[in-house]
Amino acid sequence: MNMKMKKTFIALFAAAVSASAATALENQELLDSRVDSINAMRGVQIGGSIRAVVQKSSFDTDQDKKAVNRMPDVEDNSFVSADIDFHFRPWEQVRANIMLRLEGGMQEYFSSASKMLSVGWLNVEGNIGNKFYWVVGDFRQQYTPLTLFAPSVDIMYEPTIFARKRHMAEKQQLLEGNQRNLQGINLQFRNDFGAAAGEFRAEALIARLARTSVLDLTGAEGNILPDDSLPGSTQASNTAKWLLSANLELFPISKNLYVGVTPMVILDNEDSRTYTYRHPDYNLDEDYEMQNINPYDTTAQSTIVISGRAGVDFAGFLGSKSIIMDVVGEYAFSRDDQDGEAVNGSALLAVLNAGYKADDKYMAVVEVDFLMNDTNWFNNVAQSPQFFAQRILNTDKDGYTIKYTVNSPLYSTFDALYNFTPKYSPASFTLGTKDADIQRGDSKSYDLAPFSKNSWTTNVYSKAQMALVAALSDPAIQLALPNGLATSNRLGARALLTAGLSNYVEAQGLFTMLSQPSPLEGFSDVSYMEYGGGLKWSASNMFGFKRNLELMGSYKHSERTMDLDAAVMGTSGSAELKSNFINAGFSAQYLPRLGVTAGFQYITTEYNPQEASMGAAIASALGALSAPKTKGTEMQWMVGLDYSLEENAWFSINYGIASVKNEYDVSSVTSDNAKRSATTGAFEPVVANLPLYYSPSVNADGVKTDTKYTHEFSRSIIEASINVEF
Amino acid sequence: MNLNKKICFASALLFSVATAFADDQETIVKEQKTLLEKLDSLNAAVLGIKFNGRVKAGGLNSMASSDQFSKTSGTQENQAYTDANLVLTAHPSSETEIHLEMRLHKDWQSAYEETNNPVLGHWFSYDGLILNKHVDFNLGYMRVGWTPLTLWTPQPNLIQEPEVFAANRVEAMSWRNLDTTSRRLLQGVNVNFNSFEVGPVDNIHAQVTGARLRNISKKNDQTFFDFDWSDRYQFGGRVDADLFGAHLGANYIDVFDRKLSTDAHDIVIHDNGTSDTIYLEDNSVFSGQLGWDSKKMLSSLPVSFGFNAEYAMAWWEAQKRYISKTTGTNYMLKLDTVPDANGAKQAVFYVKTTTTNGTETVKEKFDDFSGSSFYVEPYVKGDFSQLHVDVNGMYLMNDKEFWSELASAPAFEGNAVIMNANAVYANETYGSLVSALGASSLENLYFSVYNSNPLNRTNILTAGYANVLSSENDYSENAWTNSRVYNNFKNMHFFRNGYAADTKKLLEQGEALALMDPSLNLALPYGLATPDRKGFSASLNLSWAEAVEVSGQFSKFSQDAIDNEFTEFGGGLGIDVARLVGLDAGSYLSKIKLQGSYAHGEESEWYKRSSDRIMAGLTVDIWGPIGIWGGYQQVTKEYGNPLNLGFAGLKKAEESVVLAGPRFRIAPNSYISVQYALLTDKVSFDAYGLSADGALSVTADELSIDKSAILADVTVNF
Repeated sequence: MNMKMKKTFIALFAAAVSASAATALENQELLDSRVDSINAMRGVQIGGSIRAVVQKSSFDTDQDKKAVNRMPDVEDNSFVSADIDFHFRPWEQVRANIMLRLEGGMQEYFSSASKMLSVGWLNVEGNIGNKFYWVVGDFRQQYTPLTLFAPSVDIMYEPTIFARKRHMAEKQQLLEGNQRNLQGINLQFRNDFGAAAGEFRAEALIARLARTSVLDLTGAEGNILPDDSLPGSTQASNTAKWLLSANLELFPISKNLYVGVTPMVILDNEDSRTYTYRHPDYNLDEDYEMQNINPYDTTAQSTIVISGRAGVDFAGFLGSKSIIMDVVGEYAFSRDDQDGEAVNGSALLAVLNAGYKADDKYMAVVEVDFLMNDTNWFNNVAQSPQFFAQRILNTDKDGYTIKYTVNSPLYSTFDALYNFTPKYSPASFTLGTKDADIQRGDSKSYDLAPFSKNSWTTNVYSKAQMALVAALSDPAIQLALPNGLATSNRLGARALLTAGLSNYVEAQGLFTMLSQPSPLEGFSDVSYMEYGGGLKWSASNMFGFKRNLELMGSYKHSERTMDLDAAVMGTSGSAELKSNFINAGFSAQYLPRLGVTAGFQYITTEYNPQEASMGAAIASALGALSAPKTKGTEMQWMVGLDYSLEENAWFSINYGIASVKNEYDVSSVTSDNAKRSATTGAFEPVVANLPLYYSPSVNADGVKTDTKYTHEFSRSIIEASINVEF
Repeated sequence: MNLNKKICFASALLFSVATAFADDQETIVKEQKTLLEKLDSLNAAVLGIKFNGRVKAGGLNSMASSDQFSKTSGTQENQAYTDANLVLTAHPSSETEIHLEMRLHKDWQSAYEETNNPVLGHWFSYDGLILNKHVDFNLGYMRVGWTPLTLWTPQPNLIQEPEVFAANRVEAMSWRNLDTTSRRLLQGVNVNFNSFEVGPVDNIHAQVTGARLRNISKKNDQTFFDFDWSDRYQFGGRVDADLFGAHLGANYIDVFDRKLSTDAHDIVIHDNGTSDTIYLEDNSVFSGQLGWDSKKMLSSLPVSFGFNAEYAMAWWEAQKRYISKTTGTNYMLKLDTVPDANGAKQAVFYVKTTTTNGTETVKEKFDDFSGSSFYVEPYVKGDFSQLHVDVNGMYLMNDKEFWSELASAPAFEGNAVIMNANAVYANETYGSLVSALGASSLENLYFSVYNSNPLNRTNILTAGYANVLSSENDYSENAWTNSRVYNNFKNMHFFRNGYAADTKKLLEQGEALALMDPSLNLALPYGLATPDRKGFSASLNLSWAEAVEVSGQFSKFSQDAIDNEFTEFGGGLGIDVARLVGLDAGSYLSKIKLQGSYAHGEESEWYKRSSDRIMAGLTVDIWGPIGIWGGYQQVTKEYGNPLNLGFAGLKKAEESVVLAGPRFRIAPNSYISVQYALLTDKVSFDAYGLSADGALSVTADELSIDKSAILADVTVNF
């Protein structure tokens, strides 16, 4: 039936109903639903994406001379993850969207008949006319960086070969840009009142951010620090947590002016507090006692955020298409009440874009973000980062210390950024096939159950969780603004200059200067600086090659200086952290769809002695006795062949090596790092960020002679991946 | 269906409706029914695969208050979810259909990653109507009902239940795949043969039904939620015929534990010396039916009358199995040396006896008996102008030894806490009372909760025996804990629902019977198959112009074994004001239905229970997309002899519910619905304790919980 016919048909049906009685009305409903069901063939659209990875990562180090760490050197991951989207449109005004995720682990050696079929996305949506839209269930939404936003990390001119890996890891977590994934009700209204009054947008949403749910506190899933008791260690929630938000925006004078206001409330419904029964301190001999679901953080959140903003597009007023000149200022106020102690905070963000664009010939734009966020500014739906660095490949090798993520001895930024595996089944901590070995082999940080390894998340963290996540952030990529432009306690500006020449050269320059308006206790001044630049050159566009040939590269320097407050710390000086990140990438096609990609990345991070000992103190406070790390160097390269159909549809085979070299001050470490656990009999590290195989050098008298230890290891990765989005 | 066919069909429909528009209402209704049939037959004829289903998204916020809550108790519980029931139908031929239903459920939250939220299949069947429509069959999930004494599901008898309650009850049952018919939900095979007209015989019908009711876990390291010690099967067949308005039938059904299957699981002696004891039951029923309806022979009369009668014989037997310790004596011939008179060693042989300890599985007859049941139901129906009269009577005579399992188990079990399960009580007695009785029966009847939660040690059954993750022969809790570690990796679906499809064996139903809701079917908790009942019931239903409905019923049954007498009566009235005053056609108010009823039941002995139920409801359909419905219900249950729960004696329960709200139609069969519910539940009881001198103390106490809930959802059918 064509659409026109269908509409006539509906209209006649409606007319028929008006003349009839209840029985006719009931029949009418049945008739309509039958017609719908016949039309359902037309009303179903199927789309989706497929990601398949076969990957082998071989860990190598020549420092484990006594073979102390006997866990497997090789990790093989093979999986297919197919997201099938069903869009049911039974009627013009309503739709139902269902995404099913089918996962296979590519092993049939023993009977593994059941493959996971899970629900990734589920909602109903509809519209009334073309002005009002509603959705109930899963949805994505972003307002502004200070209100509703999911901050990510920026890597300037990231080589294609790595960018594709990150794309897959993010897609696996259903991330789309800086939108936040939420579940609830979202209403949107748009109306254009003409050129003068402009377009008016009114939006409102209600989402449940957390539900009361009992979790195993030792599992890798649902916990930030599994089997630990710091506030924020577990993500189990004692109460239901709700987000209520409205967003009103007006774009008058031909959309050249902009005013907006967003009130938001994030609250734990204290009346829904729920308890569970557990053995105290996991001691099975003790009687069950009633505990909070999350016994380590019992505070209840009640946060109000109000944001107002205004903007002007000067270029729009001038009617110029060449000039870029606009400014938007946003001020946000937060009042955060955690268990009756309310603190007020504020954030100010001004964004200026200025530049010139001459058709397609050349362009230059500078974006300046000025921010002034005070230390009490809090809004967890704008601050919770999308990236929480995790240990991904060869996790069996470092055992339970993987939970300390960036402080884990085998951590690598590149590993956290680019690798993922959706369902990983860990080996037991002690390798043995006897019952007792397996029983004892239960690791401290993750139980012997499959878990997903991926640094990319959609989580909304509580205040305590966010503090932990911040303490575990990766300084090489999250130093200045770990929570995006909504990071609290920041004052300063960031400027990004982009210049382009036709469609073949684009260059960027970045400069950031920030400080903490209220330095952390113990410091008199804390400042951040970032600078760098990059270039992307398309030789194919420049010389008119038929096939793509592209080179890209960037350099970025980040540093943090924390001046010690002698009155508090008893000593003066500065804790300094300096990091450099180099990217270089190459991609070329030599046949219509066949191409070569290559990438190189290099990170060095230096910690001066104060910074190193401070880092070790923080890591130790998180439960992992740590040695001061004084320098970290990481390098990875990867080359590959690919068969590309479209931008997000490729098949590639890559090989690369990522090597890591970390230097530690081990002057206070006096014993072998491997110590046999009294309970499990397995080796556990004494100092969590040193490898098991560290052993102090001693002279003939048994006196320790080393003060520095350089830990070197590498991973060689061979992988084949398929990514198709349809 | 190919596209051309579809377009032709749509055009035909278009003209039909256009024509219908000009006609009066009756014609429209008639036309619509024809269209519906056409559409259904067209749908059935379409080969291939179709996706249909329902997505429902919304929330339930329940707020509870009680003086018996502890100070720290949670008083609110939020459910917020998106749920999809996907129905996949495939037609491999025009006569048969594969029907699959899958449930997808997400509870809203973004606090942590829920990596695996599985899709659950909850209906698998292959159905068909073959051999020129003479044979129909079901394979897999099916709903089958025979007769009230053989295969049947007794349903609550609620007079003039307000529509809002009825809809909520249907919804709560549907989560369990149950419906409000008397058909029983089974998984197995069912085949029907109908001869249709053969000479003077209107129809000869034959049916066979076989199903598996329970399944023993086949591995020692796995425990099923519905664990049983044996597989349990049902099989049966029936033949019946209709001629000259008479109906004659014979039915045989048997339900039994498959004894061999018990070998799949160890029976063990526990540390305290007691053995697992299992009972294997076999229950068979043979029944004969006779009925007659005057309509066939005297069709010209304005009244029709007739009767249905059934006589059934039931046999029940049980075997008991347990492990017994045995001792045995072994005799051995031993060689030794003894000194002779000279002191020299001399070889001798002697017999040595040793006692050995062992175990054996004892299989002994536990009990058996048989009984019979008989009922006859005369009825008269008549239409006089716009008045429809329906008079029914019933005489029932059931032996104490009559037991028909598959006709007995009701779909409503109750005794669950649906809302505010997170409440914590001020003392142990209150908590135990809620554990034993659950929330109010009205909460169980009309509300349900469905969750998908992470599996963890607190909500998964762990293996009670050693497996690869625990050391051998370690029965401590440590072994249990280590037997299952789930790591929040996977979600599983959980119910809070007062309905269940399972049947109870005779030896299991004792405790359940005492806890059954006396406000529902007090006299006949197991329907017409209730053992040890003799008595009658009568009912009168009048309907005028489909606008006014009047119902009245009375019953009196005796339970001879304990000289118990049951008396029940009730009446109800339903008026559709819109139809009565002619507003329904062409008005904005197409339906204004008022309903009300009262029902009373009491027994003279045993717990001397009595119950009263009052219902009132209003349903208004405003033409266009808006409807409003509401209802009030109040139930009082009294125990003349307190029901002893061990720690307390239950004396009285007073419950009420108000449920009301609007419903907006956003598309055909798609709604936004908001309901407000206010529930009260007051339980009066004697708390048993020990006084200072060690004597038993009895203190009168009360548990009173009020709940108010807001249910809001959007439902899209496609």
